[in-house]
Amino acid sequence: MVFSSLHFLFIFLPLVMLLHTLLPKRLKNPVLLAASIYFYAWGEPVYVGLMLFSVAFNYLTGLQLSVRHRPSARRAALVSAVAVNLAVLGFFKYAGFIVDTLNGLLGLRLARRELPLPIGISFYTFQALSYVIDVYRGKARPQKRLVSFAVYITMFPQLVAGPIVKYTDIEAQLDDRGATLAQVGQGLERVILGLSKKVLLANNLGLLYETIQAAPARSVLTAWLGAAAYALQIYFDFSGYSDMAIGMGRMLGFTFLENFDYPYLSRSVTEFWRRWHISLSGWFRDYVYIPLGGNRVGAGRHMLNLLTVWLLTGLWHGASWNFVLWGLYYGLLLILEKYATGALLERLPAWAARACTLLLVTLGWVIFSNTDFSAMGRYLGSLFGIGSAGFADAAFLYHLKSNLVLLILSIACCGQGLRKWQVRLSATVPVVGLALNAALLLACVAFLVYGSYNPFLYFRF
Amino acid sequence: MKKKRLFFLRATVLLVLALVLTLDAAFLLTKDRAFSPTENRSLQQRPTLTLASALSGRYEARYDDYISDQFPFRDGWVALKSAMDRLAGRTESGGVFLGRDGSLIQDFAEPTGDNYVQTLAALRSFLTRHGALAQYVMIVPTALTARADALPAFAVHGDESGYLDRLARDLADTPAQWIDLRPAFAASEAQLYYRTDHHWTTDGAYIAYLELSKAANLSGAATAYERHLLSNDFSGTLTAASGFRTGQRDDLYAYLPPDDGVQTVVTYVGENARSASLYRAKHLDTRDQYAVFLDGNHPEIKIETTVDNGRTLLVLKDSYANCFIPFLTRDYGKIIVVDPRYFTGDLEVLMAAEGINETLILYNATTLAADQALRLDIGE
Repeated sequence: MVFSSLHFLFIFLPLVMLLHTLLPKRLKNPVLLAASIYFYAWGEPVYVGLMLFSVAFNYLTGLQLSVRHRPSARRAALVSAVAVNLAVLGFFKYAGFIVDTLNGLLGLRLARRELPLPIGISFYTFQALSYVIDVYRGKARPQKRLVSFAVYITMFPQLVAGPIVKYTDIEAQLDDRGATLAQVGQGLERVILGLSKKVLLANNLGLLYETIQAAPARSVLTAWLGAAAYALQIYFDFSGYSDMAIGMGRMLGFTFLENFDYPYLSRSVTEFWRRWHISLSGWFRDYVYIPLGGNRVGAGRHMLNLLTVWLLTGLWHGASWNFVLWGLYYGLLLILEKYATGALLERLPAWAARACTLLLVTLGWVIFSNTDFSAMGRYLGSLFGIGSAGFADAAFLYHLKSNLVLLILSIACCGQGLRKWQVRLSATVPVVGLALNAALLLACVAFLVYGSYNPFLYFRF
Repeated sequence: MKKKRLFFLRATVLLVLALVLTLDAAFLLTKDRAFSPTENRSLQQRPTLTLASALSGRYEARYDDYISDQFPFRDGWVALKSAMDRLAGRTESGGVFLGRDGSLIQDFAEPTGDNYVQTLAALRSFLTRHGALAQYVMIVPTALTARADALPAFAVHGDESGYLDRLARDLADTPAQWIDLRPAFAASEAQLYYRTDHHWTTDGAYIAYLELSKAANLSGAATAYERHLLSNDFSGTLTAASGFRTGQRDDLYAYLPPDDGVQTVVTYVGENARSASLYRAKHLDTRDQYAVFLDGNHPEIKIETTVDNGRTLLVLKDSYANCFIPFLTRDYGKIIVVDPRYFTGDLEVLMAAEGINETLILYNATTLAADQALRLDIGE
């Protein structure tokens, strides 16, 4: 099930919220677990088994770690748990990619098995790993109740698209939580915000980017417009989903950490990655970068650490070489900032540093969005006048004119101003604040209903 | 301030709850609709749950469709979305432009793959094979070309005029006469296309008839037609395709011939139905009012008239011809109308049996560019 569907918003979510709120404490976790499994099974019935295996396996690992005290035994339990988790992820997410690469490199003809990617496997595997490693390190107490642990892994708000919630962050709330009416209101406000970002902004920006991407040739300005549209789309899509997750968590009585902090205001790429998908960069920092030695090593080793982390970050985003390239691109940029350009960037005026950062990030998204390398090359070329249809064309003016309101709104939403104004409005003239939220919600419903508007064009036949 | 914020938060919960419960109640209380006239399609009904359909994900997909299709006030939401689009300056939806004057104009899709080459080869083969007959090719530009001035500013669209030029050039050495309507259309002040539908109006068809008259020596302006209003509330396919709610309706006219004693009999060959009229009034009560002309599309229609001049015409056509063909009844003793998209017989056999001595290929550019049926009937 996806958040941005009428079925989820009008049937699933209200029912689950009502049940979860009204039922006594001891029934909250069973209800949430059942709802989450149903949520996952809707459209992905077969892979529920895989998810439940992950739950059971990591639960047992936690128990095992709680009874073993000999360091070597604990280490063995950890290593085998990490290996199993990564093997499952590797098989379902990367098998086809690895086979394709081996075939390409060695001229082999290994058979490729087309398995659909289990939804959310990258997210819940990382959550499970964080639990196992934290228990091993003694930072988290092993969860004795299977249902509570299962809720942590499968909880529907963050199951399919994050944020990657660390076990220690919600440990207490797993067994004791509640939400006041005002907190539920906070959650709903956040859900409406996220839904609006996704449905009103991201989806429409996506249409613009698709149109420009699909054109056989484009002018330089059209190409930049498309790249900007994609950069905005991916931000509102992803941060919108995170907003909804955080909001629904709040309604259930959980406090998830923020996942995005106005990343497009960053003054350096280093800062960008502190503000973009915070839960993922935090995960890699805690479980890969720092264990490798982080920056407390020689310069050479530090650079290698950065490249390793970013290679893995790239791969995490998808099983395709363009994600590897995208990850290495950031690895190199971060090394450059650390050892060369960082000081320079700090001396620039804020607007110039922001512009530089935004430019680099936008180029990164072009790499990210093109799994096909020749299409990526063509697009990057057209950004700089190579193989482009001139500098400007009518298409640019047309797309700009047709999407002007959308683009202005989107850019405005990248800053903090609008959101601060909205919160202030709700606290000074609450009626207007309510009207605004109602209008946003109605607009989202109209776009969602329209999504199924599918006239049968009888003149074609 | 804090108190007001608290009020706001609590009121948000109640407001959203009220909205959700209202819509859910409306969903439960209203009967499921089987068909959407606006979209001209069957709506998804509540699917039945089976183990196989649930495991394959088919049940879930259908259930999601069911919720969207049966969502209360569905048409109202669509209208709201369209209104927001227009407010935001969007002028294109579903391959349809919203013109400056509120008329809807369909985009032209360039032929894909080897479609152009194959259709061209079949056309050339047919026209050369029947070189002994008088042959006319009339590919009608759509509103996109003829009303380019009404397109939104800077609109990026398919090159229909270029397609027509290319086709004319590639058919230039065949024995057929190419009839280019663009100059006559450009010179005309009449409303040549419906504002809500992709078809041309009967006014447009009449101008085309005058052009064909010059080439084929037909009676042309010598017949004094009476322009007769059939409907003033036609809302066509482009309204549906785009979702744009312009609130506009079109007038639908028929050109009725003078009482000159000419009789016509229309035979819908496949259906074994006969009629003395070229029109079917019952369609004026449906959404597809354009089907009033020749009862919409049929595989083969035979029109016999009391005109006794020995001229027998074969028309290979799409729906643009439906409002055009009535003009020909003063010029031909027999007209065989074939719509290759539905026709399954042998065209050569039919032509020989009916003693065809003239042919007209009448399509609009958009249909012909996408067509894959004509070449099966006329190729070698």
